[in-house]
Parts: sequence; structure tokens; C-alpha cells
Amino acid sequence: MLTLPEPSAREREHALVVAAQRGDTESFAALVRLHQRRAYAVARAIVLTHEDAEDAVQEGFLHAFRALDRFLPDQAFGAWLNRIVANAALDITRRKKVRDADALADTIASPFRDPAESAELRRRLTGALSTLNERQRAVIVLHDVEGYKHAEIGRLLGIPEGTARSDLHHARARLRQALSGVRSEL
Amino acid sequence: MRIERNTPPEWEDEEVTRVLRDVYASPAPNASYWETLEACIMARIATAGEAPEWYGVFHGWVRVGLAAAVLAAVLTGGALLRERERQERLAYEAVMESASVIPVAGPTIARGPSRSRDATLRSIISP
Repeated sequence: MLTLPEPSAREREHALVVAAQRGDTESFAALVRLHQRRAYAVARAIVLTHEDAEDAVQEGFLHAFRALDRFLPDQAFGAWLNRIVANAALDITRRKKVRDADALADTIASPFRDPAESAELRRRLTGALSTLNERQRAVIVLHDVEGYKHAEIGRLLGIPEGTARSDLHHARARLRQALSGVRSEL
Repeated sequence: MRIERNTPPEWEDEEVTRVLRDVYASPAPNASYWETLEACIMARIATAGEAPEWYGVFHGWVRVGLAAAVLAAVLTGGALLRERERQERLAYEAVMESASVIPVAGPTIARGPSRSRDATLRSIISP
């Protein structure tokens, strides 16, 4: 008896995209389940708060749903979606323009933090993060936390690879300086 | 006394990354969180789908009627425009035709009296 091979993850995603384009919301929900964690990470790298990241993810998926008929199913859905989510996050950041270190301190108090971590170290780091511009902050988080490569970050944020590399260098230098001060004082 | 420690940049980078990862940690282990977020996303999509476009409030046959009315209005407007142009052209041609038969008051008509006036003038100013 001939058995068909299991469809690959890419093939399954392709089938879900095509079904969603035909109006099947269950298929779109399956795409949400597949991609929401990565989308959240992308958004969280750009905005300052957990709540803004959630908003960006929701807006991003909504935009993607509305633009679904323009998406070519042969392309990578995740990359397309993450660009939309990144744009939604950048829009939120531009609208709010929150540069207050107090706002950053609120995000640290979320329940997903390690309580044993030095509060002073994090306070200094978040203070230094607030002095970075939104693009530098997004680049260092996407690179150091999410493991994106420079070229991928460039595509995601719509900037040249060299700019992403330069932003990372400057952001890291600023944060390193903030942390070295803490170490010498403690 | 403060002790200054010389630490290599690589170590400092590792520490920056470690603290960054802690600060930006996503709620990955929390399964119910993701279920809730998915529900929120789908609810938002459903709400957006229900929000009608301005033309979506009409039923199908009303939309056809509206489209026909818009087409009729465009055709009527075009016909009115052409009729107006035709009227203007006719009026222009009528004016031009009537202008060609109007007698011109030229120097040939005024030649006779002008000669006698010139003779009178010459006799007055001559010494």
C-alpha cells in the first residue's frame, strides 16, 4: 500500500494561507497560533511596554488579515507578517513617543522577570535603553534577545544591513557603559 | 575603597545580553496567555469584519440599483454636456453668418462729402 509522505511545515502553512485567503477564519486562527509568539517578540523589541507589544501584535494580525488577498502564498508568511507587525509597533511608538524611564521601570515589574536579578543592574540598563532611539533599541533586542541576523533585521525594519550593524554597535556601547558603571560601584 | 575591575568587552556584552533577555523575556511558558492573545486577535478580526463599509449596508439588489443610477447620471450628464456644446456652436455660427451681410461703413461712402470739406478747409487756410 502506497503511503503519502507527511506534508512539511511549509506545505501545511501554505495550505492554511490558501484556505484563509478563501475566507476560512479557522485557518487564519491556526496561522495566528503558529506565528503569534514570534510576532510578539518582534513587537516587544520595538515598543517599550508589554501592553503596547500586545496592541502591535493584534493590529499586525488585523492588517495582515485585511491584506491577505494581496499576499502571494509561495512567499514566507512569517516574514511578511513580522514586517507588518514591526510596522504596527513602530506606528505605536511614534504615536506615543514614550521616552520616560519610569515607563520602562513598569515593564520590568511584569510577572515574567527573575526576582533574584540585581535591581540596580536592570534599573541602569533600562535607563540606558530609554536613551537609545527606537531603531537602536529594536536592533539590539532583535539581535541579542531574538537572535535575528543583521540582514534580517534590516529587512524587518526597512533599513540597510550596514545601518543595523552600526545601530547595534552604538546601542551595545551605550548599554555596556551603563552596566560597567554599576559593576564598579557594587 | 572602590575596587575597579578590568573586564573584557566580550564579558560586558554577555552581561548586556543576559540582562536584556531578562528584561525582554516573552511570556513563552504561559500557555493560557497565548490562548487568550489568540482569542483577542480573532475577536478583533471578527469585529472588524462585522464593521460594514459604507456601501456594505445596502442589500445586493439595492447596490445594483445604485450602480445603475450612478451610470444613468453619468450618461445623462454626458448627453447634457454634448447638447450644450451643440447649442453654443449653433449660436456662434448664427452670429458669424449674420456678421458677414452687415454693410461696412467704409471710406468709399464718405469720399464725396470729404472732398468738399477738404476744398473748404484749403480755401480758409490758404493765404
